[in-house]
Amino acid sequence: MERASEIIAATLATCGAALAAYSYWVLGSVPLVALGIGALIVAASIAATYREAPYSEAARALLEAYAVNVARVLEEFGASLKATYIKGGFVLAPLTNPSPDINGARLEHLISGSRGRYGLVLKAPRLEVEPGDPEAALTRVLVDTLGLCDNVRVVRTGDRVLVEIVKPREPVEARRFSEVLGPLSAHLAAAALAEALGGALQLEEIEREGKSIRVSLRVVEGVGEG
Amino acid sequence: MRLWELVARRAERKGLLGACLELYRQWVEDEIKVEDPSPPSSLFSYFLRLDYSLWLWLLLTLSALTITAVTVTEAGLAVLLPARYVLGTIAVLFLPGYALVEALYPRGDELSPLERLALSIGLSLAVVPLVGLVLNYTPFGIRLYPVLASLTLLTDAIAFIGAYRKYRYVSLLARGAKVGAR
Repeated sequence: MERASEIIAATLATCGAALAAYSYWVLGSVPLVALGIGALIVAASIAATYREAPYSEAARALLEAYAVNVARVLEEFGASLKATYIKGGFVLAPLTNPSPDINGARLEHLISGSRGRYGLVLKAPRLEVEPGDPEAALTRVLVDTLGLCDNVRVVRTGDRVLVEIVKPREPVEARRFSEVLGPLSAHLAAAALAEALGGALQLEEIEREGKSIRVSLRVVEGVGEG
Repeated sequence: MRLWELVARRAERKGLLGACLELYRQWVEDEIKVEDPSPPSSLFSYFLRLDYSLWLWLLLTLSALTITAVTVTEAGLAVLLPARYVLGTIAVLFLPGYALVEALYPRGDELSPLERLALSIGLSLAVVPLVGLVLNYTPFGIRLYPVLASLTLLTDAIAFIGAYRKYRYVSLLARGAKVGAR
């Protein structure tokens, strides 16, 4: 992607300079000179624009370490059921089937639950999301800030929220992490959505289709319209 | 609950028209949500389902009618001149911008209908002179048929891009319906 924008900038700069020079000295056409200069300005703008937010590489390195560590914890506890994302950045990874009730979950503890229904309480990275349009919130976090994917689409239907993450860049393949919490980009998306919608979302299905990941989240509790 | 069941239930009290109007008002005011249990799952079925692609077919029809009106009046059938003026105005001042707005904002809830209308007219005014600028430097020049052809092609091409982008959201909905049915 980065390379593509560099190629576009270089092409625009070359064509713009050639068009402006040819139009000025040979054709004598003012509109075409303006068009060439316009292309040069666009090329300069593309070249000067940050492809990624500053420090996104450092953030990705931290997330990579986070995914590996959490995968080890999940492995150690034998968690394999899909997690529930709760407002406040909490994630409840069930350790038993049936999974623990999220209403009575003691989120300050590492293990929450009672009477044979237990879950592991994890804290997802704190993501600055404002309540409101969930697609805009995810785009800002995943695309603009972390550069973890090219595009995000979000639709809401009935008690489900569906997220399509286009061209995700997964820094690390932690199998247990993906199994329980979803791929890293889906995990962050689910945590951000729970925050943006203000409720609890259960990871239901993850499907890879071409260059996209489609995540289905079921609304478990108190999610507003967003 | 299915929509027709709701209409039938209310129609007993308020009559069919009254029930439909009330439900429409509630839907506009976001009091009720209407969801399609089986959204189109392929691009082809998206094109065939008029409840999703009516805007595209209307746009293509208006483009075709504009071409017909211009061609026929140029051939000497002056009685269609008023239709040519009306269709020409829509084709130049509304359709290119409308197609662009649909392609740029494929989700239905991003803009209100009034914003969409205003942006469509504004973007048309921005796009059409660019077509003229490009045509000026081609052997065809700024003449009736090259302008008609290039504007129609541009509008229709952007509209198809918009339809594809809208379909991506619809296919996500279809995926949700499939997961829900399990």
